[in-house]
Order: sequence, then structure tokens, then C-alpha cells
Amino acid sequence: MKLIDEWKQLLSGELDRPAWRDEEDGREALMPGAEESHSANSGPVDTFQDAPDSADASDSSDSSDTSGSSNASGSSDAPGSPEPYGSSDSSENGPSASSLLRAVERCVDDYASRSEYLKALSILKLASASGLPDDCLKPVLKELLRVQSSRNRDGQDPLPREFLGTPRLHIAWSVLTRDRLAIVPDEPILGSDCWIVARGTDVGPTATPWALVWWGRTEVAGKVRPAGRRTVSRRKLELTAAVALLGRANPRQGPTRFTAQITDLTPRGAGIEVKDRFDRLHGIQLKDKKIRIALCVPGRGEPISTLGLICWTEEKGDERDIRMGIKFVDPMPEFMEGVAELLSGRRDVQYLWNLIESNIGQAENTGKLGNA
Amino acid sequence: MIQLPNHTWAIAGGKGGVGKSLLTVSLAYWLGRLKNDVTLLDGDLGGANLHTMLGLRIPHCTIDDFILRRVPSLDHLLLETALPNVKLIAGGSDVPALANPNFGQKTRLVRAMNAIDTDFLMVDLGAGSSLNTLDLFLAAPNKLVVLTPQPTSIQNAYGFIKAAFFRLVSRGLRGTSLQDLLDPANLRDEGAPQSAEEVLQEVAITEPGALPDIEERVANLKIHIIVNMVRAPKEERVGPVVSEVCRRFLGMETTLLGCVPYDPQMEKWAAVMDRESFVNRTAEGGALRASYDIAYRIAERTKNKDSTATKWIA
Repeated sequence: MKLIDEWKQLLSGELDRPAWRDEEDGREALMPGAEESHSANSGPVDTFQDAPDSADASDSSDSSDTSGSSNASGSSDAPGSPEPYGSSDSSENGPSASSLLRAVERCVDDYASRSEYLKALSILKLASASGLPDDCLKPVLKELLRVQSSRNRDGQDPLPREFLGTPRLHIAWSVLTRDRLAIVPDEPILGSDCWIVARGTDVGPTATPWALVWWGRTEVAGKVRPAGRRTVSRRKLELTAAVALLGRANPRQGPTRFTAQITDLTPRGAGIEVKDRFDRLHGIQLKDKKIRIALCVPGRGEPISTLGLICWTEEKGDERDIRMGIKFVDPMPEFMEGVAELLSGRRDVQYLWNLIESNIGQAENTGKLGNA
Repeated sequence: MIQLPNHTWAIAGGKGGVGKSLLTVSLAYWLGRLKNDVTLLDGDLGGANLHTMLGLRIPHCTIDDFILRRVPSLDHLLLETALPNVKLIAGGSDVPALANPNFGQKTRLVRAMNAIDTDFLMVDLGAGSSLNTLDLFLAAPNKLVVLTPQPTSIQNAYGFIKAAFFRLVSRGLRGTSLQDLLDPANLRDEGAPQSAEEVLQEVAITEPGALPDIEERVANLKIHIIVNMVRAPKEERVGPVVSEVCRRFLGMETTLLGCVPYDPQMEKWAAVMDRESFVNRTAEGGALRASYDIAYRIAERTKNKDSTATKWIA
């Protein structure tokens, strides 16, 4: 874990920042302000790979003593160079936890302000691996999630909420810290469930990690975390909807209407289940058919409706249940407002209202379709 | 928190005006008629009015006297009522600060309730889901939630049950890394769990060791439901509706103890609240008769439990 020691020293300002290659060389600085530091310092260091050599030459404690005092002061005194992170609290045995924590906070804030959220996550991952207590780092992640959710989602990095799969702090922290942090080339990559800190561009064997924390940049590997695959919020629901197939299966019949159970809902579409006990839908090619779907939002008088496209169908069990994936087509703003209301609401209360309405009959349960 | 003895029934409802206190009086009346010593305790701290329903305009001693240590035990506060075998510990509302007793005062009160020598201790709780109400509700081994078929009442009753559930879970999370999970200060966050399912998911992922204890607590949280002021047979379905939502989303079983029909006689009596006339004015109505069945079930359920099983839970 020599690299983590180096990282701690670097973060606390005890090591001079390595000269980072710019993006043209395939790297950008992981440490905020490193480019400025590079431009300010007259003597550029070749690559980060040079830095560990000095550390390798002696014990980690020795290196922190020697290179720490000289280089940190040198870089901080240089005109135009950024202030080293938490250098004032460094002790002879290395940076103190509080100085490291402050450095982490500043780093994360800096990245968050640049919308480079995944880099910020990487800092947290490294900080966690380097032994900083969870209780101190969780609030930093909480703030990061808060900042990220309040901003535009067009950041440069994949968004941490999508990457971690949840905006919920405790689970996000659990996801962030459960995967192994491998340091290559010092450690072999044994599986794909790990974050990797790599010094060079050659990550190693064939395994594909979740994330690469290059010393110069962070990137998500090609394999996407299942939890992060969905880019829109999705909720399981128990909601009844009225559905009408557009176009007539039989010219002499009207549009086929049926009642469906919405099982999950997103702003883009819905999963529905139909009990086709009487084979009304049997023999109809449902995929790619257009439908009109109407559903009731509890508390709203009028049902909301939109056009939809059946993207996939699946027969379920022996009871002739059919599951369908519906994509909403050009939904009106009122419909989207209703969906947003359903998504933000609590499932249990929605379910309670549905049961009240269907059992006591104080409101209509399903949406009513006009002439489809 | 101390668990109260098995003859204790806490009556709550979430919403005001659903007939909790009146139903409590009716149940106490029938339990007294069934030759039981019944003690009514007005647990609506800060908004007590059970004494008024029993014809006591200004009680000479209230629960405030115990909290302020003017009397050594709750036995000194027992007031005779016109109902046979029924005594009352009136709630106080003279000292505003005592509407929210601190932890020490609450613990002392619950211990004193433990020491009351009676066959049935009926605790009439106030409306709302304040922590004091929830704590007293959870301390009682027998829990009753009264609701009416009104949507607002149904929603508040479910909200109360859910609040009790969360209060119970948060106790199980003390001392773990998730002890602030249900802290009201954190619940405004977007990432805060929004449902019981999400809370349990969070516990399962982050503190799996705490999950069995929490599941056991939830399994032991048995709540009885009474639907009051039923005007039509279909309104009786409200009970099963709430039970179904509790089972599905909170993972807890609830029992429908009975339904009480809407009774104009009760309203007439409520307008007067004479000390002597409760039975005379309401005997002909359906509500009092229906509450007999419920009182009988309460007596049966209480007898079936081991009355000596008093346990302390952390």
C-alpha cells in the first residue's frame, strides 16, 4: 500500500506534487490545481512514475520526513502555486487525520465545483482505503451527493448517483467502500469487482474493473455497474391503468381496451401486467403497437393519459398474464407532472389510496379513456 | 423503555375526533360490568379531557401531580367514576411544560403505571404522532388503533402505525452506524429512506447484524384495529384495507378487533356528558352494544396472555 502512503503525503502537502502530464498525453491531474502547480514550478518532473522512486529508496517514514519538509515548503512558497492541502497539521509521523480530512474535503469540493464527480468519489475511495474513519468521510459523500443532485446532470464524469446506483447515503457509502481497491502493478487484479489505482496506462490482465483511478485521471470501465445502469428513477407501483390498443385488430371491432396493473414506472415508460383470462389479446402482435394509457394519480380528479409504444412483451406463468414494457410517446407536460408526482410519492400511501378508492368507492379507481 | 404489564391497552388513532376517548369509556364500562377492576388513564398529555367525558368537570388531582412529585404513586390519583368498577387517573393540562415530559419523567411515569394494581389499564392517548404518544403506545403490550371510514382518518391511522414502526426500528438501530438514519433532521434529505422497505433495505446492506433484532421487534408489534362510526357495511372494509397495507409495506400483522356503528345517541350524550347519564343515554344505541363484543374480545385476549410476563427491552 505504498501508493496510499504516497497519496496521503501528497494530499497533505508533504510531497511535492508530481508533474502531471496534460490531457494530450492521456492524463490529467487528479489533484486539483496540479496544472497550475506544474506551470508555476520551474523544474518539471517527468511523470508520476518518477515520484515513487524516491519513496522506494527509503522507508515511508523517512521519505515523509525528508521529501515532505523540503518539497512542501518549496511548492507552497512558489508564486502562483496553490496552497498545499493541510500542510500545517503535518506531524513528524506523517499527516494527521484532521489535516488529511480537510485536504479530502477541499479536494472533493474542488472537483464537485468542476462537476468532476467521479474524481471526487475516487478521492473518497482512496481516503477510505487510507484509513480515514468512515464517520468523517460520510458527511463529505453526503455533501457530494447533495451538490450533484442540485446541479445539472451534464457533468464531465459519470454521475456518482448513477455510478453508485443510489442517492441514499448509507447505501452509497456501502457501495463505494465494499469493492476492493487494487494498486497495480503492485497488486494483481484478481476480479472485476474492484477499483484500481494504476500508475501506468497498462492496467494489467483482462479483468475489467468498475473504475480506474489513474493517478492522473479517473474513468469508469466499460463494464457498467448494474445498479448504475438505469439513468432515471424507477419505482415499483401498484396502480391500475386503462389501456387501449390503437388501430384495430379486427376492422369490425372497436379498439381493444383492457385494464392493466402498472408494476413499475419511470418518466420514460412503464411496466404493465395484463391478466388476459379470456384470450382477448391472444394472437395480436403486441410489440411495436401503439396504445393510449390512462392512469389516476391519487388526489387528482382527472386521470392522466398519453400515447405509448409497446417495446416488449412477455408471457408470465400459466394464468395468461402478459407483461409489457411501454415507452411513453410525446407525453404532455400534465402527464409528466402526474408521473413525477407518482414517482416522488410513497408507494404505501398510494397503495392505501387505491385500496380505499376501490373498496369504499369514494373515487374512481382507474382512469377512463376517451375515444382512443 | 419499560414494557407495561399485559393487562395494559393503549388506545390511539392518529387523528382527533375519531371517538377514541368515547370508545375507551365504552370499553371500560363493559370491562367493569364483566367484574374487572378497570383503571382509565388519560395519556393525552397536554390535552386531557377524559375526566370531562366521565362527568368530572375539574378533577382535584391529575397526572401532573405525579410528574411534579406531589404524590408518590399513581394510586393516589385514582378517582371514582359513575361507571361500575372503573377508576380514572385524570390527565393534566395545567402545566404546559408537562405536555412534553423528558425521558426521566416518562420512565418514571411508565414504572408507576407498571405498579398500578388493576385488572385492566386502559390508556387513552392523544391525537397525533408525537414521540410521547408513540412511546406510551409502544410501551403497552396491547395496542389499539381507532379509525373512522373517513379518508383522512384512515390516512392518519396508517401514518400513526407507520410512525410507531419507525420509532421501533430507530430504537433497534441505537448504537449502530445507522442510528441517525431516522433522525428527523436527516429525513429531509433527498437520499433519506422514504419507506419502511427502504429503511430495512438500508439496514440489510449496511448493518445486517441489526436486522434480526429489528425484525423480531416488528414481528412482536401486534396492533389491533377498531373501525368506529361505521355508517354502511362497505365501510367495514376499512379495517382490512389498513391491515393489508401494514402487512405489505411494514411487514407487520394487525388484527381487526371489531367495528362500531355510527350512533347518534353517542353524539347526543357527548353534547351533555353528564356524570350519571352515559349508560342511560347510550344504552339503546348500537355503539354501546357493539363495544360489548369488543370488550369481551379484549378480556379474552388479555386472559390468554401470561399476565406475569413483564419484560424489559432495551
